[in-house]
Amino acid sequence: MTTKSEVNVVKGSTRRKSLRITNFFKKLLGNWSGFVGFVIIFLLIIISIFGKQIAPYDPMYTDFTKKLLPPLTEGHLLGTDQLGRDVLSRIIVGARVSVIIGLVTVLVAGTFGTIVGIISGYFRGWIDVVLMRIVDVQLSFPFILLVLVVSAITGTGLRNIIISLAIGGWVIFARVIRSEVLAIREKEFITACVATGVKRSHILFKHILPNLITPIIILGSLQIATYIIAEASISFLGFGVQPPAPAWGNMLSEGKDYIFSSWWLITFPGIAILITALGVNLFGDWLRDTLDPEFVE
Amino acid sequence: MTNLLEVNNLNICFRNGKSITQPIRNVNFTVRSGEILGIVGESGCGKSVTSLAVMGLLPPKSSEITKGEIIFNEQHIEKMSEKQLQNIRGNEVSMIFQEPMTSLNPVFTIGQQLMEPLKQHKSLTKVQRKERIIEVLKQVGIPRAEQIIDEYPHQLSGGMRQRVMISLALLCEPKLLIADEPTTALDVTIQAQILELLKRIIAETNMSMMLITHDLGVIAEMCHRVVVMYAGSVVEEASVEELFDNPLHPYTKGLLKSLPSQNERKSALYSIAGQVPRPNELGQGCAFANRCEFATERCLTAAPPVFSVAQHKAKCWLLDETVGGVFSE
Amino acid sequence: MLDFVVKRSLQVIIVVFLALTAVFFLIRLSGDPTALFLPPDTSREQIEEYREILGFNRPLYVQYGEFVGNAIQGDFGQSLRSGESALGLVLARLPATFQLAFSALFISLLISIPLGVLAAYKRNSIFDRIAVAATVVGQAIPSFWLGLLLIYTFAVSFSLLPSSGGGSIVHLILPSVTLATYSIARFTRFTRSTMLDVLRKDYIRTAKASGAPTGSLVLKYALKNSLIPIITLVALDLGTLLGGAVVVEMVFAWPGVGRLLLQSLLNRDFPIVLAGVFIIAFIYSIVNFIADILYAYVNPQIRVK
Repeated sequence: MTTKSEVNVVKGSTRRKSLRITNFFKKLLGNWSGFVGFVIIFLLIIISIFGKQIAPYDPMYTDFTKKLLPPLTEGHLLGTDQLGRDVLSRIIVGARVSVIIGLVTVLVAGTFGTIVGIISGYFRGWIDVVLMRIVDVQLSFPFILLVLVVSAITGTGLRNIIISLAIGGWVIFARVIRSEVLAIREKEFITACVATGVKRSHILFKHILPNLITPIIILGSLQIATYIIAEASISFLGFGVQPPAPAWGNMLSEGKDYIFSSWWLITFPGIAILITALGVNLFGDWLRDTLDPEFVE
Repeated sequence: MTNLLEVNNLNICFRNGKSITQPIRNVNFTVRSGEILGIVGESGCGKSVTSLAVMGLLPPKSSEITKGEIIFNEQHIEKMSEKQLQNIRGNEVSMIFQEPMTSLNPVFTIGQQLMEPLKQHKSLTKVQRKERIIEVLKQVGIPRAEQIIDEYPHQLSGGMRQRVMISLALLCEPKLLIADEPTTALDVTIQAQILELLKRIIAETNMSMMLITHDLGVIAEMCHRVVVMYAGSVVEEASVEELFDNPLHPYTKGLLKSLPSQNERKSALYSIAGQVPRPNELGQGCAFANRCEFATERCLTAAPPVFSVAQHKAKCWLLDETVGGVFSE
Repeated sequence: MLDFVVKRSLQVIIVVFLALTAVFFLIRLSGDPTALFLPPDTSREQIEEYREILGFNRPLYVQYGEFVGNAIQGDFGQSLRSGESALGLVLARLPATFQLAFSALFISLLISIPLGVLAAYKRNSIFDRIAVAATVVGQAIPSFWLGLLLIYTFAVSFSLLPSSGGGSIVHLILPSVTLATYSIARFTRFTRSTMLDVLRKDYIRTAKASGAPTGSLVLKYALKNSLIPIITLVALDLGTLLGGAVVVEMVFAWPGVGRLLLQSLLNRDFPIVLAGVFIIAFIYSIVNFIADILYAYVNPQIRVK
């Protein structure tokens, strides 16, 4: 673990950086599941940026003459929903919600959790006790339930969903980063820094922080799928993205009323969530195995 | 004396993905009944792999005995099924490992762990088993044996754990005991006690022992005969006295020279220059040639055969001329 | 041991208390609940009257003090809708949630531990590869979607099992399988990797060198060593299981605490929300407490200390 993260500390010239990037792809190509995960993520990002251009129909266009068409009829590859909207187009445009939720939440929760973890682990003392008690309290409550309670109170909308997910998600970063900081603090090279009179801020920013990048990246990548599934779940339950906006969770929520007649409404949005979560997890697992096989959540 | 164990022309290959390495090449040695045979060499020379092969404990998928035979008590170990091996392990051949701290299972009591081999190999009643365990624990010098059987490994010191490991090995009264660096992980004072204990047990019983170590001091203290290994093959074999008085192979000479001596105060300890070649770096010639101060052209191009001088054997071209040794192969 | 129990009990109380406090203030800060559950055409005077009756017009700290005082006595107030005791309503739903959560836990342990052990034992075999792939997929399936698929398959297409409601074993099958899937995947994967880890340990080599047969090596030795980390993970995941139960209860209209809590959230029936939070935090803390004791039981290094 140390050797690997210490390698990361070494600041490379641009040439070395490009070498590292070629190396990254070489390694990725050598691993089947990691590569599949990477391709899925890449496609998702493309779809979420150009969704409106890629989608064959306007996802919001309703046409009651064409409602509940099964897949492969009248030019609707995946059929239409109860308002005659094209399911495929709604899935494509809905990708953006999942991608934004996943990335922004991990950024917010990760940043906040990391800051708390560093403060807790580096300064120890009473502040550590207080912060970790808060973490304990939060961990005594199921993540999804907390997110549901908070989003029921803060209200719907993308921003509020992200806030709710981040409130539910920061603790895991705080806990993991704290223990990483504690472990790094005990390492000989930190002791050596202290012994030779290096400034505290210098130790923190030049020696401890760079060593945290690997665990942050791994943990972050493994958390994204959790957030995406959680958003879909709360949207499904009516606390998240509200109809008529296309998001996979609320598509399933609307579709469940037609479960007896129209199987495609409850099938395809779910497959989209499954593939997304699978891709992110495969890539995250690969990242962990490559960067730090010893990493534990 | 009869040969309890014969290792003849043993070759072992290791596979790691696509690359194949051969850490053991043409190894020959014997263990006679009642004797202590020392196997000495630097780390990575193949001592431990050889001993695992004798136990049939080589990792089944990544390693393979490509050639040669291991004959224990007139049975071919290398041809045995896993089931047959299980009947021999811990029963006729036992092994003591280097790390007493991690070699005992932390979630079972000492008594539970000692019970298992007896259940496996002997048909004794529960009471008899307990009696036997206490007897062996006392034999290896563990005080309050009756209490210790209900304790967990973490409650014992390193020296005590190694004694427990020894008693585990002795339980079924094996014919051969393999000790792989049994004292390396222990404090110096405890080391001496454990060695003394092993020596006493061998003397008291009819057991043979294969003692694997990198420490020539331990060899001198304990063994009857010595096998010196280098880069996966045996380079010299002799009785202890013969080896220390009259080493034939330049590697052995180097090892002996690098020992600190009590009589003279050297400013710096001697060390053999260079590094052990990795298994995949070995060429045609003698494995030691790149570090040998006497190496000739021939040493680089052809592997030396075994030369015998009476009971003393060595694999070195120097013996061809200087000693006038007998070509044995 | 007594020391440990007292210390942990105190911890449970503090954690539950802080959780309640946090939710109380979150709810109050989000706005006045009165307006939300009265019809929109209620006059200002009537709203004020209700605020008066329900005590929402007093300062926040007074309300909090009163809430804590009552909560200590087990009184979380009455449901704003039905007027029944909030805690009573939650407690009445508890058995259904327990049924669901424990049958899911039971199913997942029953399947995942043997599966993980077998996969580790037959490492890199076809069986192992399929098992690992299945766990990766199983961890990526959203439970509510799996629930929908199962309803469609077993209730709609084949009419084999009821799709919703509670009250019988038959009703329990689909929800508990749905809830168990994620845990099965996670526990299997974890059991496999832990077993592989343990099988590499020195003490396994020792047992092997004393002639232990492969079967008992795996089942008797390695499994007991693996149980320590497995128990820790299961305890940690019980929260996820309880959380998942909330979602699954909604999908299958299972009459448990989770469904009540969600409906109360939608209705802004906050006394029930607080009582629900109390029960869930309490149960979760107790379960972790039990897991700690279990952990000490299998790990002698802790027990003796």
